[in-house]
Amino acid sequence: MIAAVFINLLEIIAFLTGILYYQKNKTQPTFYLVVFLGITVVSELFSWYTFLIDSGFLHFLKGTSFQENYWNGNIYSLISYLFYINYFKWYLSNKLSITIINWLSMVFLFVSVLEILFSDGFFIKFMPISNILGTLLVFFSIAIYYLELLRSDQLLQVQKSLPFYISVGALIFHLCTTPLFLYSSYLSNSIDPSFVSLYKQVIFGSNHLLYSIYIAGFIICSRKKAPYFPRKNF
Amino acid sequence: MLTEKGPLLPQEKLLIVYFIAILFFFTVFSIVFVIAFQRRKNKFLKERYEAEQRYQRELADSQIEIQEQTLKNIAWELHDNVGQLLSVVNLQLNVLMNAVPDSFYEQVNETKGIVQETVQQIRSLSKVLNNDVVLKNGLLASLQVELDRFKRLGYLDATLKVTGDIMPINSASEIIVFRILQEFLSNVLKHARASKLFVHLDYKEKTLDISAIDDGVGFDTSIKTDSSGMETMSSRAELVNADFSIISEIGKGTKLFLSYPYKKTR
Repeated sequence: MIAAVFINLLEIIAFLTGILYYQKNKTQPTFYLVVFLGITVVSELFSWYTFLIDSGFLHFLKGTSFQENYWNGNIYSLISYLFYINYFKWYLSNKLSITIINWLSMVFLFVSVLEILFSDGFFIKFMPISNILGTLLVFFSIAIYYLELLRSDQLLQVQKSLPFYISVGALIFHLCTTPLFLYSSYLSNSIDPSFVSLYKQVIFGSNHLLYSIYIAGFIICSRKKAPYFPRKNF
Repeated sequence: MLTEKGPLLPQEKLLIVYFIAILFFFTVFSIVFVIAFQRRKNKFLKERYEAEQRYQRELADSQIEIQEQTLKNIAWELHDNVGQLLSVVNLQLNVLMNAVPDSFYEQVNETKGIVQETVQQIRSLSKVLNNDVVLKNGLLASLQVELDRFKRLGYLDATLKVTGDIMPINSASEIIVFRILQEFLSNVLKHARASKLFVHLDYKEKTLDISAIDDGVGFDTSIKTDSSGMETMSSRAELVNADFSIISEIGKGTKLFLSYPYKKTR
């Protein structure tokens, strides 16, 4: 409970430092990053509504599909994967990579929508195929970004470039949490309390790490004028 | 507890797929990353090597430029300053010739002749020192001026022979070729104690072959001396991509061969 509130706090801090960073460095990808962090804060705060079902005025939702907040999480994770897949595109110069990423995110969106429509798990668990595919594509996108970074001289200034921090955070977070999301349906029942405890520890730990890295990245990059600007606008 | 009796849960299958996919991606990415890193490193090394080469070339170029500038300055000084002074001396001698008694007339006249010859020498020397003049006159004419100067000095009998159709050479190379020959000729004058010098320019289809042969005392090419004449000549020949060699033995004279390609110059 406290750890979950702490995650919300970190998200809000990351959002606010993101806004401050955007004041200094007004670029399009940074704008989208800040908007995405705002969506994260709203979505996470919104998902607290389940606490009001048992004790508050939302008791009429009891017994309906909206009793659990997985639907909210599923929609958010779809937005999140699409964001992370496309965020690094702004820092690429290779036209072919950009086209590939565009197509792959299209495929991802298509597959995810199909999974939501034709699987019955939308309200009771996180979508497994969408999670696996999304994680792989985020990995792919970041890998292309790293290769591009290696080829350019920006590698020498990497500690001052925001997308690098974002990539590290996103990569660690997605690789670590996806296996647990596959088993998210086990979280609802209380057959295995040790799994629930493990799940919570890993999810909370990786969230703490993710937003700490973001906040650190924003602070470090806003100390000096960022030398790493995107090459073009889309 | 996982038992091997029942079928795998769908989550378990997905987990296996997930790990295989991640490991596969990771392996491929690592390999690509290492290859990209290698390429980048090689590119970096190549760039550094090229920068080093460019630096060396620029250094050599600027050395030549400084030398040419110095020679030009000396040529101006000789022509304008010393030449003018000597002309004044000539005028003074003319005045003197009318004023002195007849017994001195012969001597003054001789002095006047020497002064005139000195003026002539200085003029021709300044011509071959100034690269603008060398360029204006061309390689052949400048070489002829230089050889005539030697003849006038009376030290050695120099002949120039030209064969083949004369081809135009780009001006930067022309100056360098001329300076190589000039260096060789001045060495002949200073050290060889030669009585005859034969210079042959053979314009071939692709190359200009130059040979210069003297009948002087020669020297032992295996002994390295402190003088930088040889080094200067060979480094200049390298600048214009010319083949350069000097053959000499003690008592048998010295031969210079220079083969300059028209096309390969940078």
